[in-house]
Amino acid sequence: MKQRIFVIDDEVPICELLTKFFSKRGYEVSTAHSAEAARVQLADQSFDLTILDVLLPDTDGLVFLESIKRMHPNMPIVIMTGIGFDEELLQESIQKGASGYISKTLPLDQLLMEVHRILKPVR
Amino acid sequence: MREGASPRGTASAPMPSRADLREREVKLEAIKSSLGRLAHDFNSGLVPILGYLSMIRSDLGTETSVEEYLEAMERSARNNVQMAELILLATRPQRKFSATTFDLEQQIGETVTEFLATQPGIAMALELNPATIKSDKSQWKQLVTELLKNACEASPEGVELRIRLRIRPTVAGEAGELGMPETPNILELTVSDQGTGIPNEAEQSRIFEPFYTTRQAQLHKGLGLTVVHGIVRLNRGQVVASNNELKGFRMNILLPFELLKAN
Repeated sequence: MKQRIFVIDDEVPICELLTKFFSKRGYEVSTAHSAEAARVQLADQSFDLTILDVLLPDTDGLVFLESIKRMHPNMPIVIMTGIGFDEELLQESIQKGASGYISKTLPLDQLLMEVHRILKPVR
Repeated sequence: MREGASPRGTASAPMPSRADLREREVKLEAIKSSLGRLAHDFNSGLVPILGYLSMIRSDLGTETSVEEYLEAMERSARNNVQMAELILLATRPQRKFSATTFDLEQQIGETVTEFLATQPGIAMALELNPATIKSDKSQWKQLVTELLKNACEASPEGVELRIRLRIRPTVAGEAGELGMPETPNILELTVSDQGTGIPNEAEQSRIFEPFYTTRQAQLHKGLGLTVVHGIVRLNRGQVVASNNELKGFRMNILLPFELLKAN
């Protein structure tokens, strides 16, 4: 069975890119463009990993991270940011339960490595 | 110590007051926030381009979807160009200013008709009077479109927007107060909505700042009123925003009519 990745990002082109990228690499991908839309999917579906943008239109990504952790305590969450690397943000993400942290502008292969580090690929 | 600086404790220049400093900090914070937003939006446009490039690279030699990736890259790049154009129009409208003489009443009417075709649920009450001016016609179209978009987003569905264009005598001292050249008559364009208005005065004074928005943050939001302000200032006018007496918000564009005729 395919591993399921959930991408939460308000920017549609980025969701499309990640969907194409991970689908081609054997994952099943779902997306949501706001915390509210994500909450609906998280209420009745389970995912193997979530990639969460820190800047969401309707809430702070890190606040939402805590909320997701309450709903799915064991699901790993990778924080993604388009505003560059920030030590403070990294520490806060880890403290709130994030399993990884990646900058949007890094090559996709690094995101894939991060996903592989957290989710052992299914053979 | 820096060359020429006074040693601590010897006053060589008056210290800025606390209020001045606070005002400076607020301004700086606003500018930093705008620049951060700008960098974020530019990055967001570049991420898909970089991503699809890396996918093309890894796909070459195997089964490829190059065409599809190139299309997505082009869409993303065009989106960024569109944003850059909007920022340039807001900050340097003179870059593309090309004046012709045209009938502003007709131009507004046409822009409203075009706008309504994309927003069919909107009702508009027009009160337009004749006004022939010499200015950049396409910039006026953009200005009116941005005012309409702003008013529509503020108004609940099914409510009427009001648009008025008139030429009226200048009130004594009015031009000076508005930072406009002296002029016997003012050309006034008013767009009024029926939304909740902006009760907070501090927020009201920030609505023309780039990327400032009182609505949900979305890509390219918060530039429309900066564009309006840029075009109006280029035409040596002023834009005044205020709450309506009863309900909603009003944008008043005031321009020195005689100068606009002779541009």
